[in-house]
Amino acid sequence: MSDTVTIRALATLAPYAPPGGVASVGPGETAGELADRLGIEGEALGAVLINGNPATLETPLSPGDVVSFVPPITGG
Amino acid sequence: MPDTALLAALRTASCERPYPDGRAGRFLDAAAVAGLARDFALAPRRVEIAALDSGICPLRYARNLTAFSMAEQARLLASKAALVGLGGLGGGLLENLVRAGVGVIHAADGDVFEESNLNRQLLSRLDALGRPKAALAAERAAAVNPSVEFVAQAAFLDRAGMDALLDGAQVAVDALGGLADRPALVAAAAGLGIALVTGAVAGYTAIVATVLPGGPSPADLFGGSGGTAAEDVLGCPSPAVMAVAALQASEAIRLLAGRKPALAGKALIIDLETMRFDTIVLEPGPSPGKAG
Repeated sequence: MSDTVTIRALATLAPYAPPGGVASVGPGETAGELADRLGIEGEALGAVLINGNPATLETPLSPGDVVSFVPPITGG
Repeated sequence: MPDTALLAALRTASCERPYPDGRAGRFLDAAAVAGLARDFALAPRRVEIAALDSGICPLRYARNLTAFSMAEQARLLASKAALVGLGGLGGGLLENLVRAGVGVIHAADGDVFEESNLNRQLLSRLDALGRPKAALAAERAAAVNPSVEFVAQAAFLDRAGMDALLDGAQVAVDALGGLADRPALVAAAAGLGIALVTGAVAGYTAIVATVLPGGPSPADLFGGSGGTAAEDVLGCPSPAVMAVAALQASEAIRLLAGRKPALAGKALIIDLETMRFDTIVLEPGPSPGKAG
């Protein structure tokens, strides 16, 4: 497994996804640090999921993770 | 138990014909339901329940079987749903609940239709702009299934109003837009000890979940911290709204039929851009957006 994570950036966050939806991840890098690197600001973010599980910005990433960034969604 | 005179009348008014799969069946058409309701001074849904209890299927539900057994169809007709909101999600939900034969639906929406609703709201029409959503909903319910006892208030509900609307319902359905009123609805459903089926849309991304009393709500995770909501940027296109309404309806109808929820403590995350559907397990905890 290479030292990359797959990124799914939904709705308004889609433009922040890197080309190909894959980003490198450094040792001990957290979801929040990755969000910062991608330019996603805290207020634009509703939830972070790692491998389909709710996570926090402090959750460290592992190579091979699937990281989903979801904005606040409340419409109808 | 229905009385013997009603049973005899049901036998006489119904006719034998096969189900679509070839099984023999006995069916009661809508005119017969209306006639028996008049003759026996019963609500039409009571006639339909009596028919189902004696093995006669109201013709309008013939294609629900065996998705719902006769006992489950009767249970749906004896059930009550509370529907908060009659806009995009609410219009699609109402359509599904009424056609399914949910016996009692109490709904509320204080809004009137405007032109910008026409892209997605099933009950909106060019010739109904300016009219109350509650009035159009009542017309639609009566036109599609007069057995459904539908009552709609043209009002925006506060917490007390929600408590009254939800009273006696087995399921509450969240068809609100925005975040402002959702916490009150979650609290009202929890206070009455009933499940809340919730949904939200932004562009082609959407969330559906079932909140059990005291259980986690997706609004805790996906509600955000007061920044710009994604739907204010991306809008709410019709396919996403209709899809979420249908998914909410299937969960609500499942619960009203007496089955277990499929999304309790979970959230279905839908991305129609990629056609990816993921079910996640919600856990109580702080939103990461709030930490940032």
